[in-house]
This record gives sequence, C-alpha cells and structure tokens, in this order.
Amino acid sequence: MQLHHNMIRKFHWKMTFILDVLLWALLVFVGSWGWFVSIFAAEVLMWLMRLIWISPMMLRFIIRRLIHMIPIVIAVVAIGFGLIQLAPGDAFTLMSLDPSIRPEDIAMFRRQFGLDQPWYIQFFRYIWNALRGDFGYSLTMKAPVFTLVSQRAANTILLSLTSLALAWGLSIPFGVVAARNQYNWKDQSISFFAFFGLAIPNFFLAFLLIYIVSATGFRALPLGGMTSIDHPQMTQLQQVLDIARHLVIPAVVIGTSQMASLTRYMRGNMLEILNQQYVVTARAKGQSEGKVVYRHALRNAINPMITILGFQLGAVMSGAALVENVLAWPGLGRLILQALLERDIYMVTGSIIYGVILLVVGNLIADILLALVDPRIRVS
Amino acid sequence: MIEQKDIDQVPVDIEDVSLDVREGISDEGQSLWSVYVRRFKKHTLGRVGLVILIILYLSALFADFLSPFSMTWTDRGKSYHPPTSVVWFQDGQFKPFVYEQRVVNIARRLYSPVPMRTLRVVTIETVVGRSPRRALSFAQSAEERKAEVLSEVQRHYRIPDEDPILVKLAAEIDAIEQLGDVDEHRRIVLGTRTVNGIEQDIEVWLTKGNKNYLRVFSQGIPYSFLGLFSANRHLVTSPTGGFFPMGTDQLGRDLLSRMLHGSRLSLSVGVIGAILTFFIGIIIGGLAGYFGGIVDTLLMRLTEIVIAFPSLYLLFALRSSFPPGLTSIQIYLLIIIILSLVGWATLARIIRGMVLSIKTEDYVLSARTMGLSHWKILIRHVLPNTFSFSIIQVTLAIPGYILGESALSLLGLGITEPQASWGLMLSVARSTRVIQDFPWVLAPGFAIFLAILAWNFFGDGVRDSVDPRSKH
Repeated sequence: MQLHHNMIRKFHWKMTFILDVLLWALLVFVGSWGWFVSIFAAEVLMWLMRLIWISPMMLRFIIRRLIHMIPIVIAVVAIGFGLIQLAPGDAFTLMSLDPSIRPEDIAMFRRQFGLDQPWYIQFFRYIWNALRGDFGYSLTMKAPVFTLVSQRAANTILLSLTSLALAWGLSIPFGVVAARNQYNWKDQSISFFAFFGLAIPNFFLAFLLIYIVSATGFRALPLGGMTSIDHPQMTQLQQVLDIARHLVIPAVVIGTSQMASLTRYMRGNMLEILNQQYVVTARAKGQSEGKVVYRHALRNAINPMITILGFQLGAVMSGAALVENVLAWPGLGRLILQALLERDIYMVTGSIIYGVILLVVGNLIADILLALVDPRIRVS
Repeated sequence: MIEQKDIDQVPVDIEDVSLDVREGISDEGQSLWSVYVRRFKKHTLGRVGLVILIILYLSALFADFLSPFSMTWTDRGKSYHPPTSVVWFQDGQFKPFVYEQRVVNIARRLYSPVPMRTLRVVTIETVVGRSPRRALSFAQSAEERKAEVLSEVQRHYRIPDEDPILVKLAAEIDAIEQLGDVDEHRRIVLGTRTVNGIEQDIEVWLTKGNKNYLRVFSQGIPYSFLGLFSANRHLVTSPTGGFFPMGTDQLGRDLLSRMLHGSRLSLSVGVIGAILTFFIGIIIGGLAGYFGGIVDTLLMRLTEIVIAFPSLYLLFALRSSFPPGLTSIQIYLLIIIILSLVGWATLARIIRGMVLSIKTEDYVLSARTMGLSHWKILIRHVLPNTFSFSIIQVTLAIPGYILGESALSLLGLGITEPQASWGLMLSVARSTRVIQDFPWVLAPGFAIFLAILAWNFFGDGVRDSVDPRSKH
C-alpha cells in the first residue's frame, strides 16, 4: 500500500490541471451549454480524485458524506412524489377534457404510465425512474422533463457561480479594509453598504438597476434575458461576451445581498485574527504590514468563511430563482414558476428535485473544501 | 466564605463587565427583563429600528385614517397618474390644493391640468369598495357643460330624463355657475337610490374649476375602522379626488392608500409567521433534544431535508400542492403557514443543541429526583432556558418572512387582487416599460426596504442586549 502510494506521488498531482485546461478548451470550442453539465461533472470527479490523491483520509470523509446524502436525496424525491399525489388530478386530467381524445385512449395512457397502479407501486417506480434521471414527461412543453430541466440548470449554475464569485471577490477585500480601519470613515461606509445590501430585497434592487440603466440611457447593459435576439448569428467569442453582458445585472443583484453578510463576517474574523498573538509576533519580527495582513492574518480569517459557503449556496439558489423570474433569465427558478402557473406538476417536481440535488452536491463540495483547509474535520 | 467583589477593582472601561458586577451586588434585585431593556436603550441602531417599526406598525393600524382614499377606490380615467405636487398658497393665503389632471397622451399616459372653466360632479362613495362615478366637462359655454355633465350622470344611474335627481342637479349647477368664485365647490345630496336592497343617499361634490382642495380631518370615503365602528374621517384627503401623493397604479388606484393598506398584510405576515415558527421550532427542537433516541433521529432527518431545500424552491413546492381559487384570507393564512414551514428547521436544530446541554444540568436531575414528569421538566425547566435565544433568532428571521411574502406575491403566487400587499403592488414593475415610464410604482419597494432595515436594526439591538457576548 505504502509503495503504491509513493508511486503515485512521483507523478505530481498538479499535472492533472492540464486535463482541466483541455476540458475547458473543449467547452469553448463546442460552445454549447449542453456540454456544460457533463464538463462540470467531469471537473467535480477530477477534483475528487485529486483530493483523494493528496490525502487518503479524504476518501473516507467523502464516502461518508456521500452515504449521508443518499437518504436526503431519496426523501426529496419522495416529497416530489407526494406533491404529485397531492395535486388535484393527474397528468391526463387535462387531456380527458379534450373531446377529440377517446376515454379508452386516456385509460390506455394511464395504464401505460402506470397510473392505474396503487400508490406504493407508483412510488417505487417514481423513485427508480428519478434515480435514472427520468422525471416524467412535460405535457405543456412536450418534452421529457429531465432534458428541459438540465438545460435550464446550467444557466442557473452559471448565474449562481458568477454571483458567488462576485460576492467573495468583493467582500474579502472589503472586510479586510474595514477591519484595518476600524471605526473610521472607510469602516463606517462599508458597514453602511453592508446594512443596505442586507436590507434591500433582491427583486427591488433589480428594479432599481433597471430604472437607473434605462433612465441614464446606458444601453451597454441589457435589461433582461440571457441572450440578445441576434445571438445565433454571432461568432463564438461574441456569444460569450453577449452572455457576459446579460449576466452583469442579475449577478450584481444576487451578489450584493450575499456580499453584505460576507463582508460583516469577514470584518469580524479579521478583527479577531489581528488581535491574535501570532500577528503581534509577526509584527514584532519586523515584518511589513502588508505581509502581516496578507500572509498571516488573511489566510486564517478566510478559513471560517468556508463554513458559510454551504449555507450560502442555498441562499444563492433561492436568490437566483427570484431574480431569474424578475429579469427573465432562463434558469431553473423561472422554469418552476412557469410550470407552477401552468400546473405542470411533473415539471415542478422534476425541477425542484434537480435543484435540491444541485444544492446537496454544492454542499458536498463546500464540505470537501472545508475539510481540505481544516484537517480537524476530516478526522472527526 | 463568599468572595466579595469590590466595585472599584472592576475595570470601568469594560462597560458590560462592570455593569454585570454592579448588578450582582446591588441591593435591589433586578429582573432579567429590566436588564435587557436597559441594555437595549443604549443600543442606538436598535432604538432607531424600534422607532421606525412603531411608526410602520401604527400606520398599518390606522391605515384607513391615514390614507387619502380607500384601498379599492378607483378613478378609471387616471391610470398611472404621476405623483401630484401640492400648491400650498393661493392668493397669499395658506390653501393647499392640487390641480385636477387628465390624460393628454393615452399611449405615454401624459397628464396635464384640466382648463379653469371645468365643471365636475364627483360621487362620494357610499358603499366601501365601490368606485365612484365622476362626470366632468370642460366645454366653452356654461350651458354645454351643464348638458354634458347631466347626460353623464343620467347614463351612470340609468334614470329617465325628468328624474328628480337630475332636476335637483340641474338647479344646483345653475346656482353654482351664477357665483363669481371660479373654484366654488359644494357637497350636495341629490336623492336616494337602492343598492342591494339598501336605500342610500346619492351624495356628490359639485365642483367648478380645476383645483382639488386638500382638507385635514375631513370627511371622505367611509370605512369600517378595524371592523369596530364605521367612520369617514381621513387625515389628509381631497373630497373631489385627484390627490395622489405617490401616483396611481395601472387601474387608477391611489398608490399611497394601497401601500398603507398593503402594509397590514406585508408587516403582519412577518410577525405572525415568526410566532408560529417559534412554537414549531421550540416544540420539535425540544422533543428531539430532550427525548433523544428514535424521536431525535427522525426529527433531525426531517430538519436536514427541510434545510437541504433552497427556501424559495420549498416555497414553490408547498405552494404547488395547494389548489387554485382560494379566497384572499385563505391565501394570507396559507402564506403564513408556508413561511413558517420553511423557517422552523434552523431554529429547531439550534434549540435541540441547547436542550441537549441543558438536559445534563443539575437542576434537571434534581427535578427528576423530586419526581417531576418528563413533560413538566421539559416545559417548565428546560424550554424556558432557550426562550431568550429563540427570541433573538425569531426576531432576526422576521425580515426573511416579509421578503418571502413579497416574493410570493410578486410572482403571482401570494396575495391576489383586489387585496393589496407590497409585493403584489411591485409585480407590475416586472415589465421594464412600466419601470421606465412610471417609476413611482417602485414606492412599495422602498417600504419593504425600510421595514427590513428596521427589523434588522431592531434584531441586532435585541441580540446585543439579550446576549451581549454572542459573536456577530
């Protein structure tokens, strides 16, 4: 075992980043969002492999977390099934109102789809199908639910990750600046904006941004949707830029509310760390202030922030669902609302289950990240 | 021997510590609550938040009185009327008024004041919720104006030519046109008519000119105050209409009146939802923590599942399982229940943790030795110790409920017309064109913002005064 381990070690794990670059290049060249999900999955798998590679303890940790996920996923699918059962009528109720379809045909459809079976058989069938990625058939959109949902999920992931990156990218420097200038005007104004960002509802901020953009006539930012009308005629690079342009307002909206709490948290952490003895030691050694802050304090202040990442993912997905509906971003939340208003119950439950599984996987990634930076978690 | 603490040895620069010690040795006993209240009084932001909240909730309570019109009062001719600016002085006297305006460009909904010579008949609403009829004419000659107004009134009440109502109105119009004052307006009773089997007076304001005078504590649209007694006084109103401090919505309803009435739903959802969550969280968390075993496992798996949902997705899921076509009061209760079903899980988990540690305290053991039943121990000795923490948590969660209600209503899943809620009022803003052309429809958004800000401030204040050592 030890020998085997050493053999692997000879091949440096950082070499695998070449594979990543290849994967991303593939995504750019293929240029289709359908690929996004599979490449995302491949990335996740590769990161798992890398983590196991770096630390054998991680493997056991990840397996434990994966087993922990199973009951949650099954329960969520069960809740989805319960919603379908609770909703009045079934998938063919609407069809039975259509006089051009014979009642015998509808009975035959019901038999084919297993709707004449008792509920427990339907339940196990639903779980079995859901685990194979079959969430049923959307009668309003005339396509399998899974296909529709996975297309939209990629857009939601793109939006969520961008706003998360924005929130983290801004809140860490803000938190550091606020902590280093405690109680002076910089700190006060950052705290003020944090309160502001915490209190302003996402949808209202979106409306305000739309108003500001349209009132100032600043047309570089589109006011809704994900692509321009002439998107299909664009070159690859233009298409990417087009989507990026459309991303700005929704990402800023979701990012602001996340940033608010993150900044406050980061400020608190940083203040606590800056009072630690090792920071005093570092200063006493005569290290430059920049080195003290960025090498010694910052790293330790960021660690506890990763715990929040898990909670944040859920909030970001909720925020995204709302903002998608307000700004016409074609994501999961918008799909759910459309399906809900059209009472397409298979679509509703399919997308909710998909969304929850996305979140559970996101939490797993956050846990792994946390275990990576904080070895105590791996062992316990 | 009990160690005596000397006040002077306590470092005074750490205010909290010195206070705590001083409290400990003061002769008079102090209740925990008075300590909380004293700490809260020193929390500036918390106080600001509390003041804003008191103002908001009082204005929700007195919405009928404060609003110029009623929630459903509609002036069909004034869709997306911009906020009116008040002219304070007329001829050097303090006589605030707003100009009566009419649409001059229907596509862009541009308004401009009607001419000076206008003659108007404005019906006073007699049945709450009925929209008044308004007849107006700005023809050149007095005779034409009279004829136009009379024919409109006749058409509205579907009455024959020689009806006493019309005769009386014609006489009143003649009388008012004789007067030299161009802004003459008076309230007259034309007769009675039967609506739904009830005989009611037809009261109208007969108005000359283009000004709507504002009146303080004046009689306006009747309302039933909190269902207790009927009244018709309004703080500031214009009996002849046309006074819209925040503009109107797409149907021509006064936005300020709707915002004040909407605040009743939007603000109460948060508090009632929080109270419900408090009970659910404390019961489930208490049971799981105190009894442990299979109860604990089952309940905690349940909370994990609820936490695994993004909250808006769970809202959608719960909303989808209810049938369409509910009445507005049912939807209101439903929203509260849905919001607390989403919110209880985190609270229950924290309560469980606290109960787990409280359970091992000596006083629980002694209560058990004295033969108290498990239920009594749980309710009388264990759970009260989690109250202060739960109250903090629940207060901090209220903004989330207010947001949840607005989000649901905004997306068309919550409160429905003709009820008003802040989220529902904002839903017209989902059209970019509406925001561009009629930005005043965003006003309820500022109200939501203010309410959430105030609850955040207040929640911070409560947390800092109840649990000063908690990490922010």
